[in-house]
Amino acid sequence: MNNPEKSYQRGQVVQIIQSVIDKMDKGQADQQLDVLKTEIATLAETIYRLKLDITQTEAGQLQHEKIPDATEELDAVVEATAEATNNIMSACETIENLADKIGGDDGMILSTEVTKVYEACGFQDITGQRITKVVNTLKEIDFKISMLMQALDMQVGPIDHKKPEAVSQEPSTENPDSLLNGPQMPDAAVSQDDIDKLLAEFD
Amino acid sequence: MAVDKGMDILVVDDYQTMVRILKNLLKQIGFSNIDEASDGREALDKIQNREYGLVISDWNMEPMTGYDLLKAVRGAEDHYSDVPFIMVTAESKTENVVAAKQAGVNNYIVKPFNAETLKGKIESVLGPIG
Repeated sequence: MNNPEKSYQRGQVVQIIQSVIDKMDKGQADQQLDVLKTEIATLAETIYRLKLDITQTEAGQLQHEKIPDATEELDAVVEATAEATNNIMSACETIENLADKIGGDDGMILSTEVTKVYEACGFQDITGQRITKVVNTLKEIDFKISMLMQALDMQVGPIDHKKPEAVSQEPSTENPDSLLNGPQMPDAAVSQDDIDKLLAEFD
Repeated sequence: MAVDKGMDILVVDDYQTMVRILKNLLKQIGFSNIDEASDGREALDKIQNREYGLVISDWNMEPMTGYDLLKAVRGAEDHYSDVPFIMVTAESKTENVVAAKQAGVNNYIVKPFNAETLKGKIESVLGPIG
């Protein structure tokens, strides 16, 4: 299903069945034809039930409404947090200028606290990258639903045949894109200390 | 020898928020001449035309990543090929760190980070800031 070129259309399936019939032993053709008819009837029943199941799961609605809505909502989250973060930093820059004017211990305290706010504002970058990963996953699901519905000859919207960015691959320098995985989950992430130790091994 | 706080530093990140955070933290550390670029391609153009004392780059950017920028810089037979280069990124897999080191990175900071880590890594690359 990943590769649209490998998805079989109805015409191709008919061709394959015809090819099988052509290759059958003519001597036993009638008997084999009966078996084949039964198999095809079973296959047709399976496809019919699959289509029914997909219809009942409202895959079309998922594809045309829910997934685009979800990605739009997530994009809005990134936009809103970016705007809020920029406002916070503008306020911090003003406070920092005042801290310089105030000077002394009070100025130093203000400056130290402002630094902590700058550091905390890094959350926007991390959450933005995490949300981008989720959006890519949704796009991949959308792509797979489209291909499935197309293969079953069901009505689908326009399909973008460009396969969405893979969510995860084995990291390798031979494929630099595989090294783009974004922030790791805290329990799986390599810490700064681990990275420092790793770098020290090269010295 | 103490670090020249007047040297030019290039910050490369596609998230404008992170550029702003890094610029503000660098100013607090004492650096005053901080330039910025939003991806590797823009950064490479700048590096080719201006002498920077330090490049601080994100990894995950389009169209040119920080990793590709690092390889392009180190692979160039030009005045800028040995510019100190620190990667600041959320890409924290071992494979990333090893790849960056093999490509010639001077140090590696994983996001989220704090001002102390940033200062410490700059000092480990350039010497005491003072």
